[in-house]
Amino acid sequence: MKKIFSQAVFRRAAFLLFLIVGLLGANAQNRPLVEEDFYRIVTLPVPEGVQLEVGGLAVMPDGRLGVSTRRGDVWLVSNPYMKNGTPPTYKRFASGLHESLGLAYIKGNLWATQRGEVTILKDNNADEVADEYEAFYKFPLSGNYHEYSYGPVVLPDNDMIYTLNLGWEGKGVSLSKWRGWMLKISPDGKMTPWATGLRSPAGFGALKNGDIFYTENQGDWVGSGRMTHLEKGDFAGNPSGLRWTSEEGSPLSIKPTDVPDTGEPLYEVAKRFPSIKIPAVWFPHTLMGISTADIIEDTFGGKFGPFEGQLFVGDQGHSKIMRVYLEKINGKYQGICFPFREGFQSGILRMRWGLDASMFVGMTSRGWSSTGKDEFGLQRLEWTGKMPFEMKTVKSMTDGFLIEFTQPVSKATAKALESYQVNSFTYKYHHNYGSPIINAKKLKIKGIQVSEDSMSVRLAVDSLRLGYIHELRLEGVKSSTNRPLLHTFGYYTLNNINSEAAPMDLTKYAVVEKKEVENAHDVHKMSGMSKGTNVASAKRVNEMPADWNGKVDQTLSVGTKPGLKFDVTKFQVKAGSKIRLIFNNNDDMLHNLVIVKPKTVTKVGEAAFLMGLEGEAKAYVPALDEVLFHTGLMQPESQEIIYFEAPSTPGDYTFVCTYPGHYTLMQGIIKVVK
Amino acid sequence: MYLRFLAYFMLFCASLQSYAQGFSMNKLPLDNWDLGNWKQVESVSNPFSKKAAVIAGNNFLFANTTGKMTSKLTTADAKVRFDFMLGNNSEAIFYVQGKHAILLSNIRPSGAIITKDGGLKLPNQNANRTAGLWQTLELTFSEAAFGNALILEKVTLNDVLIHQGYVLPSEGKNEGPIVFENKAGSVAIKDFEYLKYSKETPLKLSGLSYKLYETYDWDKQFAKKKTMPNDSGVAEELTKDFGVGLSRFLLVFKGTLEVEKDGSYSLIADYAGKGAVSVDGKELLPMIDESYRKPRISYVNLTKGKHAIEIQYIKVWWKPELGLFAAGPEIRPYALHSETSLPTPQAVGEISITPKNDIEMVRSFVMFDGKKRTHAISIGSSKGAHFSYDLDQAALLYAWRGDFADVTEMFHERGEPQLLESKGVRTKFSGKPSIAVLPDLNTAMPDELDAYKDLIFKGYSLDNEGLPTFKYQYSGSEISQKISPNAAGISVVIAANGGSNLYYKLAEGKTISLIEKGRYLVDNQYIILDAKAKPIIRNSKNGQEIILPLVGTISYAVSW
Repeated sequence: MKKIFSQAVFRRAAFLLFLIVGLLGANAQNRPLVEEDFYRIVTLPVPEGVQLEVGGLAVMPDGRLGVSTRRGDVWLVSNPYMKNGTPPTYKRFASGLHESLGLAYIKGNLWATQRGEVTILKDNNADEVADEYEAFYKFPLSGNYHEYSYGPVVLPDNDMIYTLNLGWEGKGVSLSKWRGWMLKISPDGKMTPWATGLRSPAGFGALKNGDIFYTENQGDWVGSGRMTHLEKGDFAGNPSGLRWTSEEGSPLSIKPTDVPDTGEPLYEVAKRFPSIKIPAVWFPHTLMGISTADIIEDTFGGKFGPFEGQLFVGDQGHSKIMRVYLEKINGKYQGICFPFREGFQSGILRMRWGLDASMFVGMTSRGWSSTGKDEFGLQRLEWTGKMPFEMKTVKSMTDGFLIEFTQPVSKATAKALESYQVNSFTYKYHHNYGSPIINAKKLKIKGIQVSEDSMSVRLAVDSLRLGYIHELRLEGVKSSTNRPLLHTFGYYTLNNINSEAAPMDLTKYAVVEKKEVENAHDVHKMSGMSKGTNVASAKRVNEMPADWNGKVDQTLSVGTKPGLKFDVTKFQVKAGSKIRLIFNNNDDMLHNLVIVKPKTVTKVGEAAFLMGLEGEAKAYVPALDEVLFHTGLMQPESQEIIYFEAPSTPGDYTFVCTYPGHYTLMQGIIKVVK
Repeated sequence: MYLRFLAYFMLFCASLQSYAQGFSMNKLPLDNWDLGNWKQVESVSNPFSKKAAVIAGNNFLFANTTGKMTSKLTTADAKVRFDFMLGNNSEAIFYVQGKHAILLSNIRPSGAIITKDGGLKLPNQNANRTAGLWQTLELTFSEAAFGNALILEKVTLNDVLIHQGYVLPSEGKNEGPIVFENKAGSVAIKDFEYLKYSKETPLKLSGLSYKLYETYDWDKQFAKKKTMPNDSGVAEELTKDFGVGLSRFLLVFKGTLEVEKDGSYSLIADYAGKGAVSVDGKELLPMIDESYRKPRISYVNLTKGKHAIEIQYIKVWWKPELGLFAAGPEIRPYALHSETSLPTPQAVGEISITPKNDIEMVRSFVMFDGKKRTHAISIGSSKGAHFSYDLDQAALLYAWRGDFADVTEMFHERGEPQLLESKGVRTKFSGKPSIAVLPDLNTAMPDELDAYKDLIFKGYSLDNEGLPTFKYQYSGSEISQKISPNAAGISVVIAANGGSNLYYKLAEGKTISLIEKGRYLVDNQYIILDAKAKPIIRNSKNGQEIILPLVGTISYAVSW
């Protein structure tokens, strides 16, 4: 009896304990951790009536933040860190500047770059309003709107760098002197043309050691976003700026017509035409971002998290920040980019470090829409102090890659071949705008070696290709506490192979694939660039079903508008009726149209985004029950008709474009009624 | 609601109407007027003196006593335009159809409509010019379709839009003569011109056939994919609808343009994409780069009878929109296309800047003589006068009174034109550099200075109000220039320190005349300087210029 009692008590206690542990576990273990757990976005409120379309940011040592805008104002923001929980205050310091897209605080003054001039703004009577606008340096202009001017970025030797955007006349054009160039200007106003081949160089910066990098946006001669190390006399790829190489001071002499226009990968062309500087890192279009912006280096020794010495690169169109780890192989920079933090309020242009190792992020989306829906904004990104489980670095090895993690991995998952996927691909180098992904290939993993301390993994990979972007996907690798990676993929640009590292001992670490590379066909198909419009699916019926007897109950016609919009956002149909839907993609981008079950658009949109490199071949339509009907992935200016029977359950069914980055904006409702 | 719809409709007509202005208007001869007390004169001297000397002639009509003059011409649905000049403290009334009164005044805002109860419907802004300067009033009016009203469709004073779609209640017949009545002071009228609109539609399309071709995209210049048309047939109407189903296409219409009577006409093509029109094999509107709804006009003399017409339309990335209008000097544009072929274009709301306190500065591109000035600044003042200035050339471009600036073209979407537009009653300057080193007075002032080597812009400092003083280095001299807006216009102070043989150009014009001590009339603008100053007035390439040696400081004012 006593025994039974105690057993019952024990059982009950165990049950309770189980319950408690279970509940705790639900809090600490089961909730998936997201970016926000590690990096927090704080929004700075902007007073009504202030059009804070951020063009430049300057952190001031007295705790204020200078903000220059596309409207030509310079605002002084006091208390931008909101340390007492009180909102910041804004004071207009200067005004009337011509689209000021750069601002810096140099020796007690704010320096603003306008389209046609670098201006030093001085406040001589200390009333916090500039009373002297000193013209420091003048840039020639043709009057083309696309001739933006950016800078200054101050180098360790106090010289400054500026970049000048090409004009746009259906293609990038250098209509006035030094357009498409980076210029170096000394504090006493002496200008040295530094490098050219630039197209849209809104983001640039110098590392602590003085090395200069700039990011480029996809466009003519630019297959995808990229980041290039610019040394004096470099030519980064767009020939328009070469028009000025006969001018005094030009550090190079090649001419626009010298540049081969063959559509081969840039790396291949550069072998024959070595004047081209190949990029250190590619940011694959839509897989990472769509319009690269500012670059800043983490020099905070761990105060901003575990990425000391790495670079953060903003993206305007995707309203997010990417992370770059660089290494030098054979004396040249190369490296990998990872997703880092998304969900900013508008299109990111500027990023600057605050005094407290947090990052100010300045935004505008006017004229170039972004996934962050606000027209402009100012936010601050801070580390919560929690350690994310991430790939910290990826380094080139003789026979593959060394992946270092921020936290120990579970050896079991890290040793499993199924945890990894490696693909490689590249882009065309030609005068056309952008490029398809070409020569995509799935790579075979030969060996996996997990380090003793579980902090790193070496992968030996077959068929590494020089000049190619190597996609590393680690969906299956878990931390020692069984968490997935916060970001499971990265893109390594392999310009040089680190042949100094000893090869992996394959007698010990070889792995064998259980089955043949079954996805290889998919990836190969993609390399043929069918653009996925031929995706066959029961959810995509392009011919009227025979049993409809030629009769349609209702025809819906929907097109697209610039700025990621459908031209119609609401339809009403009868439950079960026979529908013909005509989708006209009259935009200049790729789009699809996917009809999903009520309130599932976020799930479907996110799933489409996570399809990664395979997405394009599958028209970015994820294999989910929530997807009811869809079109293919449609080229600009193409049309598709699909037939379907409206759902029998009334409700608001969303139609959405699931092309990466589009789904939050590009939505409409098909209201199904009885 | 109905009225509002009507207003939009009229706006739409008005925008096309502006394209019909290329027709020269009919001049009303002086003998058409029943003059009353008014006189035909050659010229009037200084309008600022009480007794201006009047020289008889046939240049314009003048009254310095109260009284009316009436035209024999009567109008119902018309556009009229005339120049007028007022003496000091003068006021006159202009009557449309002999009964609807519009004020011409420098006591109250010109262009104000006197309503039935004797009140004033003020203009959108005061667009008066100063006494003694010629001003231009232009208005288009028609009988309201809903009856018992006259609609002032569009009224501009000195090129400033002051009324739009204003409905005046009216009884009886909407027709009558033009009347001017002098109420106080003196007033002059010249160059009265008019167009009387009829409801005729003398041009018609008939026997249209169409051919539809699928085309390539922009990268292949929208070329046809095949030489054989995808579709062809009889076109009952001119419409973009024949292209339905294709994302890129070319439509070619051929047929007859039937002309009822000889005359000069215009054809206005309004479309989204690319278009071309030819008549009798002659290309009136050639195929040019694609554009969105920018009407293109061609003028053509046509004889009575049948003419071959060919209309080509290429759809590019915009939705297909195709329209073709016919018009004549006295025929408002009317559609030759089907109603559904040309939707109303999407208009953009204005973004403007109004200086609320002190000074607003805006750097932008400014269009001047058809070219963009790329390093320009515009200053708006709460005192009501404003100016645009070229920082590269140290040159005034424009000054104006009234509202400050329309910056829609800078801040809408990408702001591709990047242009600031002045909004008020404006005066124009030469846009050429105002400073030069002249070894002797036979040397001409330069048209341009090298803004990177010779004339070096150093920036500007702001006074307490926020008004800039522009600074330059030029030929060994430190130069500063401050331009201050005030209620009457602008005043300018320029100072030089160092340098030699420096000269300053105050103004340039076709003719320069001394009106009274210190007041010079330069074309249609006054330059006012110290009565003791002795400026040099000399001939220049384009007429005359007024210059002073720049030693120390020069001050002067400009009014318009």
